[in-house]
Amino acid sequence: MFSPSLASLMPACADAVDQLIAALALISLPPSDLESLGDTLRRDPGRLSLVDLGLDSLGRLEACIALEIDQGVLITPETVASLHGADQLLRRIAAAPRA
Amino acid sequence: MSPLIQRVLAPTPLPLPAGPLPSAGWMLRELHRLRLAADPGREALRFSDQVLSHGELLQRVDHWQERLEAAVARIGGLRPDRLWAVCGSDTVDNLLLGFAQLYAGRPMLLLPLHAGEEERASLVHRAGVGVVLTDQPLPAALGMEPRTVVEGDWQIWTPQAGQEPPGVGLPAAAEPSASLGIAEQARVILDQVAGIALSSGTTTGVPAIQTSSYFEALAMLQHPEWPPSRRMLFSFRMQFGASRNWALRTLLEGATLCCIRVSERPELPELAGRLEADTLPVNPTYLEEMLAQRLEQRFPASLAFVTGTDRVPAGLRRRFHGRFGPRLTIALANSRLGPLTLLPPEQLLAHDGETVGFPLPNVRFGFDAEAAPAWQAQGIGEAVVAKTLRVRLQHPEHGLIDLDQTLEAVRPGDLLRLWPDGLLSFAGRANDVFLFRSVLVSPHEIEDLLSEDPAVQEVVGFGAPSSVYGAVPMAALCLRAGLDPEHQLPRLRRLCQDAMGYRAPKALIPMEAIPRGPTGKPLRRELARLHALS
Repeated sequence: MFSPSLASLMPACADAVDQLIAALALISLPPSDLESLGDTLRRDPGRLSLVDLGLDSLGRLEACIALEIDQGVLITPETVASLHGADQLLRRIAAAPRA
Repeated sequence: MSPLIQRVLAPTPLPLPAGPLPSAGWMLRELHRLRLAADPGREALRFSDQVLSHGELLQRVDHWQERLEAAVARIGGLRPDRLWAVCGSDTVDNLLLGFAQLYAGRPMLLLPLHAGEEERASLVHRAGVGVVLTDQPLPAALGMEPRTVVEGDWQIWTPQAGQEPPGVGLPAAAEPSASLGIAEQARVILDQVAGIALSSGTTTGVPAIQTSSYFEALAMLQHPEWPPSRRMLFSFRMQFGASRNWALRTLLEGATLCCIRVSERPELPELAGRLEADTLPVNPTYLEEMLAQRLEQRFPASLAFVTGTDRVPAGLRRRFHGRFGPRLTIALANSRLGPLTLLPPEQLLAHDGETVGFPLPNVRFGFDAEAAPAWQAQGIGEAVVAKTLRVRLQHPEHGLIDLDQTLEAVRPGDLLRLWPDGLLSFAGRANDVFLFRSVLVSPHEIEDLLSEDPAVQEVVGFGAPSSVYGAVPMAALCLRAGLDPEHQLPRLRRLCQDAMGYRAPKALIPMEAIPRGPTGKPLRRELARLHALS
């Protein structure tokens, strides 16, 4: 289940999952099974770390650029590096300013 | 040494009259007269349906000079520090007026026809233009009015009352002091400004007003640097400085210039055969067009192709060589210094098709490795060029007068690699290369990769500025007709990622046509501006 704070952002976070999955598909070394990753992000994102998403330093860089260019989501690799789990990342994406 | 390169060493002294030294304009005209004296009936110029012999050409130039002097006298004369500009259509007379002004010692600025009204007005004010010679009405924004007709449609326009140019105008020509030695006197005379042109701004990003001297004009004519041509076929805009200079040089070398208007360009292959041209200057875009349309079947076998400045990618060279054989000469050149290197056609594919040739004998290349530290390990540095120009005059009383002038430490903005055999390779434009985070990316790497793909017709790489990432690699591309971008773009993106990793372009932008400047160069900066990130 979503945590309460995430639940309050649920519609936006549903979009955020789609946006994140689309961005992850464009990094040089994307996670191997994006479909099941998407399911987990929708059901229980707190279970996933950023490393599980393929977001090492280069992955963060590429994902953030893809989010900005393709989704208009403004989030920097430094911001992503300061986060601990996928649930935090989804909240940041949902609340991020748009280009 | 290649015959192409040996040719630039041949000196030709210009005989002067007895007594005081003549003007610089006289010297150029005399060189012209002597070059055609041996064969005045030889065809000089074919301009669409007009044909002029070398003898007729000089007569027409002299005629225009007389008409201009008469027109200036009719309006009571013009101050000698007034800078002249020309704004004319693509006609023979535009070219002939250029010669007339050059021989009269009046440098002229070319007003680009492709520029908008405001841009032209700004140029007129920046440069301090005080007289415009034109065959068409000028826009009101220029603040000028017609003063008198020179001949036909050609008129002299000057500023309206109160609209005098605030700009720099023309530096006064220095008079040589009689106390100077003969060589110093000649140098003072030849240092006078002969040409004023607007550079394309490839290096700086900002078009600049460049001047060239009579010394440079005479030196380049006495030591021809471009590959020899008997009949040059040329498709150009008369108002482009580089095109016009090339036309003047071709004619003054005694060759035949076959000019066609840009609007006639589609008929170029047929014209090449009909006009018996042996040389055609081209740019990489046109090489691509020739290959795409299988134009080799229509170009005569004797036609050589010369390209300068713009980079010819290795893949394009291989395809061209496979289809046409060794018929392409490449030069590294820029509008300030002219040619710097020449690559003979037989070495087109040397070093994986990346070289721009050998330095000309009067050109010295230095390398500033520190200007491009990330490239140092690969033996690449930013080129720092010195070019020596030589003039040789023959005076009846003073004998031979040898003058030289070295243009030192010029940075054309090219990243080059020097191979042990003396060939130079072009690694990129110093300011086209961009920093993506802490990594240097060359747009040419992106272009080389994508242009090899059969789905891609044209591609231009660039770095889209970003406050977070420095510049983000991107590419604008044209797919071949009938291909579906939705299917092709993800495949091409993956292709780039596999080859370039995280330096791969982060956006592939499909376009109908790549935006290009008036000289055919892709407008990387414009693309970068349009696709800037936050």
